[in-house]
Amino acid sequence: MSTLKKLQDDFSAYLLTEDDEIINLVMEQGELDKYSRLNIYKNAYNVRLRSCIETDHPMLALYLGDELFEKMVSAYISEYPSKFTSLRYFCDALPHYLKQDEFFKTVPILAEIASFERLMMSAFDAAEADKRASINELQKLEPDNWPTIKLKFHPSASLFEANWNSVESWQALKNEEAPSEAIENTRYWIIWRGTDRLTQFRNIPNEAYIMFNCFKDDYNFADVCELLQEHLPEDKIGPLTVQHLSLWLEMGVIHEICF
Amino acid sequence: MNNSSPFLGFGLGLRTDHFQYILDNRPELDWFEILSENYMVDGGKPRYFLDAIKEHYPVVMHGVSMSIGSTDPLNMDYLKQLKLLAEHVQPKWISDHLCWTTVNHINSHDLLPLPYNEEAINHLVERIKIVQETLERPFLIENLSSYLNYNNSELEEWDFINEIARLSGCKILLDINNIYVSARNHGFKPEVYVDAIDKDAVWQFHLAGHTDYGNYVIDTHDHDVPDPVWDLYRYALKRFGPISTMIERDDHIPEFPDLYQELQVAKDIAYQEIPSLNKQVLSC
Ligand SMILES: [Fe+2]
Repeated sequence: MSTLKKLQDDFSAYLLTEDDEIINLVMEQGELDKYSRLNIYKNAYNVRLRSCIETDHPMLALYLGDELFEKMVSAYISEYPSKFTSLRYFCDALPHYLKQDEFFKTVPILAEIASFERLMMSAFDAAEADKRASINELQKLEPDNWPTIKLKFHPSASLFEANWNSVESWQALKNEEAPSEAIENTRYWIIWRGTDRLTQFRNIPNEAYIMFNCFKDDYNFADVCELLQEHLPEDKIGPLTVQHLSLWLEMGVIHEICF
Repeated sequence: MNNSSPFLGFGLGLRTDHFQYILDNRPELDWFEILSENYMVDGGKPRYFLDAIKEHYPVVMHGVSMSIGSTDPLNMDYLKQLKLLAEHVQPKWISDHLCWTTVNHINSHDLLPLPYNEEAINHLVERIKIVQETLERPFLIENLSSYLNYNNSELEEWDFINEIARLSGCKILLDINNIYVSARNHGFKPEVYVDAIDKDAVWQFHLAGHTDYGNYVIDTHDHDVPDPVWDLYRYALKRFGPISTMIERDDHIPEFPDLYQELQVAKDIAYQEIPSLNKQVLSC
């Protein structure tokens, strides 16, 4: 092993663990002792990762409160050291960590809040599309074309299935209100970046969630309607699908209507 | 007194908080430095504002993730992404730090110091050459603020940087604040550092603030540029002549007009120290 590699291994071990072999390579200089010098780096390492978690997951931090947040932060930093070029992705495994950690998995809403915050981040910096489809395009459609239309969504648009009141709790904290206690309650959400470049989310009914997923999987309108027969009375399918499509167009989540 | 570096004038680091102000007011400013990593995303607000702002100002790109001194293989994915961004932005040059950030693919997300010895020089020179061949644009390395040195350092930091620049052909981004911070932490005279750096290698200055803890100083970029850094800047101008200069502020970011005002101080000092600057034609 090269001397430089050994130095970097030892330095990294000092940042990540209790291993202090690097001390032998640190030069004695002036008033500040060698451990204090190393600890400037160790402290900065922890502070930087901690602040990344707090910046990316501000409502999770509030939901947990100081003590539990610090517990989560130190465990996550030591179990998931960053392998990413950018800190943008450092917390990608946080929902997974919260789901499988013996302590935190007993409060399943936590992983959901973390997932929701990550989806909001993805919507914030997702690619731009050169245009968004408008309601006019739908109005101009010939009746014969309706069955074969397919949708391309804006790259920022995604769905979120919450089995707990995670989004409502997130919203309460965002509004500086106390969240209500965690309750099991399945709701569906759409998250996207609006034309004003602001990240948005909106509650959608189950059939809209199914519709969105089908269109995303490249189903055409006729296939989507057929699939919805399992979930809706037949006479409701037409009006409801048109209603959801119109709303999505208004929200700017559809990039293109293709047929 | 002059060197061959392209003189862009006086700039600022582009920060998210100032996007809208800049577009609305189009302040009179010679150039902006962007933090490359902030724009290595697919889209959204940062990319939108960058595209709008680069239409009106020359831009240079400054990164923190190259890990040029690491013993891990060079991150070619990162370099390719950086190159893609550069093709889009058309920066005057690209810079990163003379440090290592990753080892065994674990990222400290910090600018960690290297030992100043021949082994490190050879390692760095080889890698900087690959970076330059990949990016096909001028590449600058920046001196760090550091808090420790190693027993196996054989050279002074300034000789180490000079040697790397000389052997690799890269240029130097001289951070005046970092010289001051390291001088305090290692007990050398900052003027000695400035005097030793190769005149022709320096293409850019960073000015910034720090936090002074008495027996050590930390490079926090969250304060105004303090007097000792202004003094060292004045001293550096005497040696290097007109160098593209900017203020770096990463935390407790003031309103744009306040930062702009601080840049005027830098400009005034440069005009006092280099009277010929009035006649200088900006080469951007
Ligand atoms: Fe700097």
